Amino acid sequence: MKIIIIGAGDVGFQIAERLVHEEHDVVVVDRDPQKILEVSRSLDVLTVIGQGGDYNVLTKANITDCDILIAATDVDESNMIACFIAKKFNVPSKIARVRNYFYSSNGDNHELFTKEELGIDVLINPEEVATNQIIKLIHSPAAFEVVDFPEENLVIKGYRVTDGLEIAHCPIKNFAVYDDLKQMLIIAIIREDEMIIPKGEGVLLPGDKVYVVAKTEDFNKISPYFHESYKPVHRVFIVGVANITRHLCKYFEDSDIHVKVIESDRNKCLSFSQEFHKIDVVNCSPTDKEALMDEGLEKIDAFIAVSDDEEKNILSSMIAKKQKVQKTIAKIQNNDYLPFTSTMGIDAVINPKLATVGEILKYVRLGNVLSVVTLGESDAEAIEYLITGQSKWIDIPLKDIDFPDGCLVSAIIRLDEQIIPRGNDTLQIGDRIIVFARPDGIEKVGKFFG
Amino acid sequence: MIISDILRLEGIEVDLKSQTKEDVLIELVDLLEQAKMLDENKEIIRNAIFEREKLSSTGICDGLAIPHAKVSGIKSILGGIGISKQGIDFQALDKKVSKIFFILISPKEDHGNHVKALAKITKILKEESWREELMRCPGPQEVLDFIKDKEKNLV
Repeated sequence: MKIIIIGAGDVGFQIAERLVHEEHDVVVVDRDPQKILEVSRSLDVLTVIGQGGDYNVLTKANITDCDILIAATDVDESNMIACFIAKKFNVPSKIARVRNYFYSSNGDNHELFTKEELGIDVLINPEEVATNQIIKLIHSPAAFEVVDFPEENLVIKGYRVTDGLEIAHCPIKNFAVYDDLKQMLIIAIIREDEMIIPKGEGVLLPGDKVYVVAKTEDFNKISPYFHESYKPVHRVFIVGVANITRHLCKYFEDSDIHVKVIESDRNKCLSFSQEFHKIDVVNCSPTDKEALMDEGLEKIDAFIAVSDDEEKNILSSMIAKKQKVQKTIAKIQNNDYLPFTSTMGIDAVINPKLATVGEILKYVRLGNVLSVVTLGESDAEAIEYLITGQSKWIDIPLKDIDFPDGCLVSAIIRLDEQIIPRGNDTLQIGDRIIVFARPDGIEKVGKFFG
Repeated sequence: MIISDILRLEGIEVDLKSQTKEDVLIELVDLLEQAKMLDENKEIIRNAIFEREKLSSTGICDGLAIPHAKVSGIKSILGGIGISKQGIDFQALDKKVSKIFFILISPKEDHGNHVKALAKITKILKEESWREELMRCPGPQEVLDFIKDKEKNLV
């Protein structure tokens, strides 16, 4: 397919990298010659220097035979205009990254400009995506990652294995003795920097991070084995007045969860408290331990640091963890910090840019791919395929299929039934399957099931 | 679970008239009524079928759709088959038009047989050549014979 990407920042670059890898024809447009130079040095793509909202620039990028336009600059308005122009050129699919709160589905302006009027087919708001991740995480206190397939009633959760767990050191094949775990499948183990796909073999060790899949309702039985108790969340601190804060407060406003927003900038505090009357806003530094204690840090159930200052997010989360706050979540977009987050006391990391890349890629996949989710910390993917009559793998027990390395069939959905597969299960026409793939396996899996 | 046992000749139509998703669902339920397979519960069944369809399309792929629902108050599993020569946009997952419609209604309590029936239907229709053979059947009798014959092959 022919894909134009506008914006060669982090998001645009990463999307381009993935799409080139999947053998699409990619054109990258950016007004910054330096960024364009970096792209053309490292990726096999056509590049055009100029504004995405400029007719001549888009013509140079061959917009007349473009299949998908992805507008991923930092400027919402440029992205919207690029989609608007693409609509005039009848580009079939137009995706825009739009960050501003008032353009989002929660904001007040969205009735003024509908996506359709602007010619946007898919509007992706990184902060909204991140907010949804945060909400899922607070409701799963022990998980560092939660990814769901709501239409299929399936969830993938990432847990840390600690010494106190009953199942630590226990061979995976012995899990069968726990009735509660029969409906769960371990899809991957991250040990040091390596990702292992256990396929029913091996053992969980303290320090491992493990991804498991099960039906949504079965997690009630599974989560206690990972020391997760469903104690409801009552009190939450949010650090920083930012777009994510607005989305979160919109969600918490009408719930019985008590929220305090911590912000060091007095003016931001004032305007925010005018926006959200029901939310408590505290004007203090998020790294001032005494002040946080005075506000009741010890009594909260979750600490969410989403300010624009990543170092403050990290530091304040560390303070919260020291006070035994059950769940700390920090917004961190700088990949250099990622390997150290868990030792720093951060339970879960939110990276809106990475989440945006994942969301955009979801809409670019074609053929029998129904959906894709990227698992944040690992770059692995869970890809949902439709098994059609052309599939070579119908009716063959899974254990007899020679799957490519680095992948695992994690779930089968047959019309309304979810099956957590074992070796003797077979695929049938019309099944949807969720395949977990390590980064090195994604391309091979695509060829195998595509 | 024997599929040919849950079908009746009058509940098979080889030339569906409907052209839209809504119409074909109504036509399929009418078909079951015409075969005297429904008592007073036609409304309930039609609503259940429409409700299920709202969750996600039962148009699976390769021209095959299996509208289905579980309802209380019926004694055993009921099935009907409709064939649309030109195909209908049923919002199938693979975006192709749907041509073969297998409607399946199960008693609410009978979970096991419902799943077995679904699995059996997809097995019978997994081969492209078999689906084409079914599409060519000139009348209900030939459809029923085809199902019986393929079922024997599966065992």
